[in-house]
Amino acid sequence: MSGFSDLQVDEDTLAAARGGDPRAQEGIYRSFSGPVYSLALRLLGKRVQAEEVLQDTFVEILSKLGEYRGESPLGFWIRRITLNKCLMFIRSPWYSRSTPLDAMEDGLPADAYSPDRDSNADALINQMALERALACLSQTSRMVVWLHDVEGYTHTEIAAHLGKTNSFSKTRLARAHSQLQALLDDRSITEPCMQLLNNY
Amino acid sequence: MHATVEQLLDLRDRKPVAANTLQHLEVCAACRRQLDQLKALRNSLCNLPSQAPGQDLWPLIQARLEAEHAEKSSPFHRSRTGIAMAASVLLMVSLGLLMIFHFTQETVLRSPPPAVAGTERPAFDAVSVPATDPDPLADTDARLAELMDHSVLLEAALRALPERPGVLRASTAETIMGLEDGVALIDYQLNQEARQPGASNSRLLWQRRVDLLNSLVNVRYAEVQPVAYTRF
Repeated sequence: MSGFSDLQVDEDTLAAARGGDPRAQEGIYRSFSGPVYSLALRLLGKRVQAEEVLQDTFVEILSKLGEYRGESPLGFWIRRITLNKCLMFIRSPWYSRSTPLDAMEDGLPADAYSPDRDSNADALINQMALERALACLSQTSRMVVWLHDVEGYTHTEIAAHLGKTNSFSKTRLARAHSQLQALLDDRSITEPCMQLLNNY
Repeated sequence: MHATVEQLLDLRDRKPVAANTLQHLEVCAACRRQLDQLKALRNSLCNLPSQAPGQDLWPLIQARLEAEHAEKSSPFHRSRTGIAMAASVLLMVSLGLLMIFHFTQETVLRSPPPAVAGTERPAFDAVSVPATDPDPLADTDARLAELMDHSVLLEAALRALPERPGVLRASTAETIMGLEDGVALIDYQLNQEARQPGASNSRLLWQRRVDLLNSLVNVRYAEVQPVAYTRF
């Protein structure tokens, strides 16, 4: 689940953060900013937008920490808020106006993220190819693939979040996998997204 | 015939699949290879490294939290909460009156007057007379505008309600979250609808939005009652 379940915050830190202790709040931020940012980046596809969602998410998490009852792991609660913030961002009129339709459908956004260039060569090539292929998917397809395959959401849960049916989620996942495989099989092409668009 | 990607994904995710798909996979190397690719792809996705924001955003978040805290603890905010509470009560009363007025008007228009003594059928049947609204499209547009106005009113009522109490029941929080998610979903669908010329679900979606907002106002109003009571 992209790091959300691996992290734990001890009860003392949690209680101090609820009481408004800035150091405890910062501790929670430092622990969870990576998973929150990664999820937002993979769903939204743009660094600037992911940073905006990261800020909004942590302001909400830290202001509403008193509402967290500990019934589920903290990571699940934080992930739910992050996902809701991403969906709210995508639904906002501002987002619809600022994102060209082509980018919302299949196509690589102008400032799509690229992987960290400090990794070693082989891993970097594979990682770059996969990141690029992911970025080529439509917003919805990318969201379905990431939520299902990485975050472990069921089709029913994804359908509920997107306001679609189970079969929509299943079909999107299958289609997205076909697209990803097609892109990964032909890494040498200069503009894979455009070629892919013509095929689907 | 080869297995579809959907069937292979079901297999990958250990979901039930048809027996003939399993039988086919035993003899088809191509499908087995594709299944392996799907598994490998999922592993690669899960192993993509975590990303980090380009800059340290904590100072910005901390500043926003402090600003929020300062605003909440200021005397102006407290008095504003009182004003908001009074405004919300006023709004609720106005909304109630509006709804009663609207309901009364509809009843007058739609219900036939009592039959005149000595005649078999009513003297006037308002529903069956098309002259009151000859154009069904105009009726739809008017209803849509009415729903939009109603939606705006309900949103104003929501905004006017005081802040949510710090401690609240999990079920109430869940209900509110569910209703808010529902409204957000409708907004998304309306947004999608606007992009498809000729789509005609707008009225239904706006009706659902109004219903959800109505429920949200009721729940939120009930939620703030004890808080408002202790503050005044």
